[in-house]
Amino acid sequence: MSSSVKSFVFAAVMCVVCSVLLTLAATTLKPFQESNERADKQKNILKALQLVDGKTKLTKQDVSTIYDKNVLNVWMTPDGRLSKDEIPEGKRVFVRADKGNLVSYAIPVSGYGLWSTIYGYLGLSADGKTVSGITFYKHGETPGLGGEVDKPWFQNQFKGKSIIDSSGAFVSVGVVKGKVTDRVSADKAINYVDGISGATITSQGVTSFLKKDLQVYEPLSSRLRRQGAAQ
Amino acid sequence: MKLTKTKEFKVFMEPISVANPVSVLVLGICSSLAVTTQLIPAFVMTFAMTAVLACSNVIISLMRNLIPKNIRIIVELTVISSLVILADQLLKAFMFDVSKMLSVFVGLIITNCIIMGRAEAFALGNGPWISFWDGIGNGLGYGWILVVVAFFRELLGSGTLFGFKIIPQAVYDFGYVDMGFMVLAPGAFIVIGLICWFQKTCIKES
Repeated sequence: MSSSVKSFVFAAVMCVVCSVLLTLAATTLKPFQESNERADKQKNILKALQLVDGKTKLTKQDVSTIYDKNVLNVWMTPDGRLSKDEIPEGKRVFVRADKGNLVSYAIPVSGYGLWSTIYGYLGLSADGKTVSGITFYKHGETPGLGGEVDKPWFQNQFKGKSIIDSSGAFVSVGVVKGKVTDRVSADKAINYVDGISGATITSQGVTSFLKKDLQVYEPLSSRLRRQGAAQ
Repeated sequence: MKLTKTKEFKVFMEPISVANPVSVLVLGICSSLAVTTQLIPAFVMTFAMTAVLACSNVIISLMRNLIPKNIRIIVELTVISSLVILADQLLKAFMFDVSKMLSVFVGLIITNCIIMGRAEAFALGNGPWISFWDGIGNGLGYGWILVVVAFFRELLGSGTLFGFKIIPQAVYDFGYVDMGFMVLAPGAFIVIGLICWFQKTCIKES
């Protein structure tokens, strides 16, 4: 057998062996991976809704029990009402309800950081303006820099921040470069959190996609704010 | 025969000391910059890298008489990337938390020049058993540099070690500021440069 024929045969065999191996691994492991991902998403929704603190260890079973007991998967209609049934133009909302009353609700947020799309959930209280929690569960940012978005020190800052300014207009929550106390005046500090040093682009990305996604859910949030004001 | 005199011990120890892949051969610098901002990822990367390096060395060494010379690089790369993808899939299925922590590092292992370098320079010309030890040695040689660099970068850059606050709040109150420079890639360059210099001087003297 000439050497080039041998090379072709070897390459072909190699390709077949490797692809069969990887396909086999991917298909057999898929159910496990999917159930892990689902549990991870549920855990993040629970964190955004303040149902778990993120410190205690929970098994997949615990997560799904708490989730099924407290969280309703609903859809927001274009005029900002909630519907139990899926509607084509509706947006997903995860509602924490207690005896039929809305306590808080989480919305999915996602957008570009520096290297990757960041996925997370933002929880808002029933008043439609106060952030109850935020989580980022999937990203490909540099660990130690942009990757800090998934760390508690960064996420905890969002708790209690407001998505509206003192005049009541929607402004979203922004990430500043450096410290909030150095960058914005005291009356605006409620709308901003500290940035991540060495990760300016990731911080800017978070600011812009939070604004974009909160804007989408503004019909619901503003309706809740009006309800709160009327009471 | 004493353990320290065996050939296996020699190929295991050399990359950890005098023939270190990072500080002497200056390989694998790209990932050393990326994963050394904190200690935990540095440790995890060391384990992942050592495991993949040992496996790829063994597999390539087993096939060394079969691989046609003209396509050997592609074959090596195929073996390495298949191993890395397999490891990634297994982690995602059974150790989801670890796989989340590793995030982009798993993919980074494929591009690590040390793995290709050892396959080319060692596994193609030696038996599987000794190649295995060469892989372990190089993985750990790479790893200890990572850990040392990460130690300095995390301590100086963030004031923490393994995520725990080390520098007391009182020092910050006095006006101490974390060195933001250490968090960025150039900080790693400086630390690695100092290690290279230190090691070159030591080797010359001994």
